[in-house]
Amino acid sequence: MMATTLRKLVGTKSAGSWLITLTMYGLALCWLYPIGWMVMASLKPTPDIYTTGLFGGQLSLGNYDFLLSSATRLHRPFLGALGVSFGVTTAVTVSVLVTSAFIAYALARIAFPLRERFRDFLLLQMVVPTMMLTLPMFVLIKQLGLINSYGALIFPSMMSGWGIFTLSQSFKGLPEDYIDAAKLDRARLWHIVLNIMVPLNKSIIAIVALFTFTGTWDNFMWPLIVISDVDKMPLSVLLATFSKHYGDYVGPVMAGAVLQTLPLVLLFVLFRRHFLQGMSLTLK
Amino acid sequence: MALRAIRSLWLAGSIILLTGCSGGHKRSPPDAQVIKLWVGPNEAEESFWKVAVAQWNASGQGLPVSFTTIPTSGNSEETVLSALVAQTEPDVSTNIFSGFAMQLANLKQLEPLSSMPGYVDLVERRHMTKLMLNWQMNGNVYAIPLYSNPALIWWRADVLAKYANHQIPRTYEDVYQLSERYAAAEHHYGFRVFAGRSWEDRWFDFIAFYYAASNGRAYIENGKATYDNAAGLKVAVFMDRMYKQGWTAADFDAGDPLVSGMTAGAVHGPWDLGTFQRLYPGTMKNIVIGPIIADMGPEAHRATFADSKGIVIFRSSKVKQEAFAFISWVLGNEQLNLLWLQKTGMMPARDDLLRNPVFTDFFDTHPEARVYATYVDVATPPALNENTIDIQKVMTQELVGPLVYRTKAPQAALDDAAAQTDKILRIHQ
Amino acid sequence: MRESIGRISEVQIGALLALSYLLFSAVFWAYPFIWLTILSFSDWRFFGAPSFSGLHNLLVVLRDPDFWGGLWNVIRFFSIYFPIAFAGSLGFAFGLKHIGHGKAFIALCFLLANISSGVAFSLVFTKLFSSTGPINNFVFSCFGFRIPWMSDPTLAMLAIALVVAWKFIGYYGLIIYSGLQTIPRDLYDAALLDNTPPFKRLLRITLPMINAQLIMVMVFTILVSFGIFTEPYLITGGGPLGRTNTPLMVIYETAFRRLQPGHAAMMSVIVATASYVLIRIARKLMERDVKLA
Repeated sequence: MMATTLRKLVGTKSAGSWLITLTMYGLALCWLYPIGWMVMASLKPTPDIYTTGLFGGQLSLGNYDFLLSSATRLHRPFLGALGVSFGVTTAVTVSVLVTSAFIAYALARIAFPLRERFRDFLLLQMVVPTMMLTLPMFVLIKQLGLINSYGALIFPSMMSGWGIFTLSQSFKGLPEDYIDAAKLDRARLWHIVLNIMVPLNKSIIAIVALFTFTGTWDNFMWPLIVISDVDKMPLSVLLATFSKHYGDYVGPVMAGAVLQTLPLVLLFVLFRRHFLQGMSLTLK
Repeated sequence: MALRAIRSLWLAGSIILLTGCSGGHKRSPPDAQVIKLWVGPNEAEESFWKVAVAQWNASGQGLPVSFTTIPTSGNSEETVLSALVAQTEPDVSTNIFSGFAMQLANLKQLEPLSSMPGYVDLVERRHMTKLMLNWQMNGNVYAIPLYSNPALIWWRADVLAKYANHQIPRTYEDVYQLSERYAAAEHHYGFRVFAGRSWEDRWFDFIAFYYAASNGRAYIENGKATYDNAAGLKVAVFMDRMYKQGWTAADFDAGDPLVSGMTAGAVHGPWDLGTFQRLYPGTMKNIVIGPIIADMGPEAHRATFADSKGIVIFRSSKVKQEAFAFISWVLGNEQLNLLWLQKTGMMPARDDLLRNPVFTDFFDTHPEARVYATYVDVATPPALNENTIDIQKVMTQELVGPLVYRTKAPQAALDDAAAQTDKILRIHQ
Repeated sequence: MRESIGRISEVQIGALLALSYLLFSAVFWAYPFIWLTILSFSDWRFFGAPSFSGLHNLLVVLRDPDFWGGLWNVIRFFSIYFPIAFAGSLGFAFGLKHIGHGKAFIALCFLLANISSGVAFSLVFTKLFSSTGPINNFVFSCFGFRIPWMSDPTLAMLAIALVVAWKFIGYYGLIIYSGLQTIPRDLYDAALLDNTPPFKRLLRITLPMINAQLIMVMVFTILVSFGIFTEPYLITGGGPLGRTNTPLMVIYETAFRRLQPGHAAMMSVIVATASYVLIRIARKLMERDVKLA
């Protein structure tokens, strides 16, 4: 069994093809190198980081210890910031998913007046570069008295035009029969959305969820502008400013980087199948 | 035509928005029973203020004070600005340098302290008359310096013994000779010229040397750059020569050069005394401290740069008079000044450090600190202009950087930098 | 087919849902637009009320050397980033096509870079590129010198471009790959029958057929060039000597350090317009309506 598979593999490829295959695998591993280095560096004491090989040196959780104790010593509450990041990101992601699902269903399947205008509006929004709205958004938040509050991080992102559009494209593709059947059973709207549309569009929902989560979790410029209180900062900003002042403490900085990346990597690995499927769907 | 349309849109929009503007901020009713104080975000300062505030509160002389460190994650100026924009600022803040005070004053966010009752008395009591000249903005004083740290040069005594006959270099020629000998003998560098790539590092190279060469003359006057004068040229030529001859390096990222012996000398402030004592006691024994180099007689008392930060009262405060009473008390109390010196190693901003018997013991037991105290009277803070960062960025990009990387001649670099600085100052009037 | 829930019809619910988003957009999208316009023509420093200043902000911005420096840096960044990202993603897409097994694994490795934290990896790469870091150690042991990534202006820009390319090549590559998948086999078969050499096949068949995807990648690279903030802010801080200062960083500093939101707003408008115009031009030049005969 093994032998035939091997023979099949070897036999069907030319030398050039093997080269390409090896190169691709090699590149894939190269792409993983910075991640691997980051994890290993976070487990080594700072003086050892540049002097030992990738997997060498004494491994310990000392850097993480340092980070957690720097809450009191250096006024940098890493654990608190992690909590803020989680709270804010989860709130935004849930909000975006729920609102996008319902509004996407409306856009895809309900013939409400000016529906096409609405779709055009969504497209227009996606074309306009949002970076120029950062500054006026700050002024708006200031007017609402929300500067230095969690609201400033959550409210502007609670709905997403991209999310609505992407989900509606996917919802459109679903055959009418499923919904007709549900309607025959006198199903409510929210029942249709939650129990039919969502389960049948898992991949695209995973994509929207993943991108929203990543975008919010790793958002840097906006929280940098809007939050100045160390206790309310998300991890992205706290880590960045910690690095600016304590950049020489390479070990703890890498430990912080691992904390910042870990949830994203975990989500990615958990939902990788959905993600891959969804990618080829959005790229149509 | 288009402009008029824009104008009407603007008018309509602002009317809508201004109604939102004033009602926008949700500031909780100010607690008129407490003075809120922000202090510098480091352990040493915090430990000082703990004692000082506790004493004041216990004595019951005035309103109680409650303090926290500036809740910054790195850039305390940005944090203060953010607080002002969000209207969550305290009553009093320390850690304000002169350029920043100027910016805040121009934004009308500070209370002029010079018109507070008791100001004149405080300045006299604390022997600050000469120092305050550097903090005058438009005839008023908006920030009173807490401390004034001169920048001086540390030399390795063992290197000087071998290559300079135990003489501390004081002129450019001295440094050239030392560098030549040290470089030739041990493949090292004579002196660390370039203090760093960041704008604030200019305080510890070009600006310090310029002050020494020009006897404390300002490098920005009346909104124009003045450092492309004879003094500036001397400094630029010095830097250029050091790099041309290979007697100094562009960066010393790998470890402190005085400790490793890579250079014989480097510019340091008094806060490093404590740090080095803690981290590199062996090296510290070998350090002698000298003035900033300049072409002057060996006995001349050279000016230098002062890393100096002060205390301000915000205009929005409801307890201005009481806050000033507290500031007066803290700054004027000699025992507290001594405590500051002991806890932070930084020189209190007063002229009489060496005359005043309160400090004698301390300076007797800390001879290096005494050298610093000697220069407090000629240490000059950064130029009084709110565009400090832009000015020093231009210095980095057009003057010091090109000299370090040898892409411009000294006069050309100076001319470029001055022209660019003038341009920026004109634009940001 | 009208389904009623209580006394509200389905159409009404649909309209309400759409309305809710429109309301949200009115507050968080349209209103900031109005502020953007107002700020661009006002003199304001965050305190007090804005005052109309006509085209003053425009004049100030056009005379600001930092602003022009930022725009020039976009061009420098794009000229380094685009070839790397474009060639890299094409290579990735073609390479992926050749792989029999393990497509998913390879794609995931590359995508992991995309989905991970830009903040974290800017810091990681700063350490990797440092003069005593692993990359320089390796180069030193092989060639005997160290690459001064952070002190040379071009190398610093290259460093940032490499980090951003590392992040996006997988994503761009998958876009192109999905385009490659849609090319019908018969086209290649016909070309093979005609004995068309591989390079000509590439030029005449493959590239035109994935024109839409190539345009998409180009648009993304232009948007990235104009919009990066996190990577240069964290890796080089805009240095050395301001040569990696991006427009977004200049806007940030102008608004929040110099406290000139009016100038910053005008800068935002100019930069956004420039980016939009560039994208229009690029599409005009590159877009081809490819139809199968």
